[in-house]
Amino acid sequence: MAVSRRISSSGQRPKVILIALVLLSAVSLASGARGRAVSDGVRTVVGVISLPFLAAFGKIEDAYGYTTGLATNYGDVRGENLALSVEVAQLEQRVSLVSELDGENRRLRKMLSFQRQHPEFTIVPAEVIQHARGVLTVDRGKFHGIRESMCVISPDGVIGIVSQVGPLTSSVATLQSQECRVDAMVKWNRVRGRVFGSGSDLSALCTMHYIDLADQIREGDEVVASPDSIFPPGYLIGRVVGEPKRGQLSQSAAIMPASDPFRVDEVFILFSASLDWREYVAHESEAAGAGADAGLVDTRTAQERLAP
Amino acid sequence: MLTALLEAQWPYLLRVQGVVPQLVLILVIYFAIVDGEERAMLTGLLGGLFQEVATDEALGHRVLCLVVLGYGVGSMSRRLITENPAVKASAVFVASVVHGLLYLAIDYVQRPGMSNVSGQLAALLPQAFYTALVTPLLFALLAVSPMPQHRRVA
Repeated sequence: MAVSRRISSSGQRPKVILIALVLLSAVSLASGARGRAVSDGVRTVVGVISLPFLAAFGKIEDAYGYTTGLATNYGDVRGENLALSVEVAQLEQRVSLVSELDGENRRLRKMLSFQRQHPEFTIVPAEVIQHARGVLTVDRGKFHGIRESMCVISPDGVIGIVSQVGPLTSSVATLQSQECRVDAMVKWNRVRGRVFGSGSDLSALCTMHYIDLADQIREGDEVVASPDSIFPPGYLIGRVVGEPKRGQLSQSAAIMPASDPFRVDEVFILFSASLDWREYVAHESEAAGAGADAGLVDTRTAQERLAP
Repeated sequence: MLTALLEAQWPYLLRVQGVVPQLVLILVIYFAIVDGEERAMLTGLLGGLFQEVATDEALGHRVLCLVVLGYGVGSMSRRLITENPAVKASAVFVASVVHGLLYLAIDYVQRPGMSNVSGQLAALLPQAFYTALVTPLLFALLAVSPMPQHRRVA
């Protein structure tokens, strides 16, 4: 234990240090501070300083685990990926189906509401199963009591007229069909005319002809079924689009149908409205009888045959 | 730091008959003899503070005792010209007793109603004796360890 003094302190510095330390100790004792206060402070400071490092280490650990997981579980991950892809495809199909059902539900609710609001109409709902050149095929036929020249409408407006009837299906000449002609009038001033279909699958516009040159017609006017037609008088056909074209003898106007036949999925076939449907049936029988007596094929459209 | 840690956290490793040697005090005395008052006081400050924080004692209690002892022994060590281990162990024994008395005095000032003063007084001598017994061993270890040296020469 050979320990010898390596230095010898002198001067006032040790005394100053002693006094300072004694004073500090005395103040600390008088304040009653405990060692836990220092340890808590140190813990807090260390925690704050080490937080970013801990977060970084955590991310590195996650990345390492992810990388090693990819390497070791590649087969499982791939299988899971395939299973999830299949599940996603199934869910997408289900979502699409639900969306379609939602749309159908809205349409059917609208039709049901229409049916309740118009108790004067005796109507049969029908679903559109085909659309070609302005002619709709619906899933109702003779078996369901459908006859030619019955009116076909939707809650939004006129669709067309039943032109051919099969046992279980019927054809409907819509406002786009060349066969369909509907006597119409402008709602606000009752100017008469006749609405003809364009016969084109590319345009929903039809034309109102035979408007007197002296009559006034404006863009946006509502065009409704006239009392001359087989449709319920005042039932909406469409609205005037653009300025009317003036001819030598009459003027004509483009009409945008209120109910677009290109987009309709369900329709109503009108059995009776203000008039008893039996009158139409009698009228039809008369016309058919006249055609048969003449011995010629009746090439007139249903509207022409049934118009008063 | 190591001695303070041993003394504060794992006293059962050193305990004999319920008495634990004051290793930090031995260090303070060593540095007081070898390097003078300043280093002794610094050792007392660090060791005492560490013990207070580790055992949740009143801050300044141990520090005050160790700093005063470090200064006192450092001042007197200029006159200590012998290298006899027994003399140094005796110095540590006396310092340990003084430290115990000072510690108890401060404790009593802080908590006048404290109980078992006589029991603590009775434990002073065994603790001082145990500390003195450990002193030659620790002094020898410190003498051969690579410690930072003061460059200042008076």
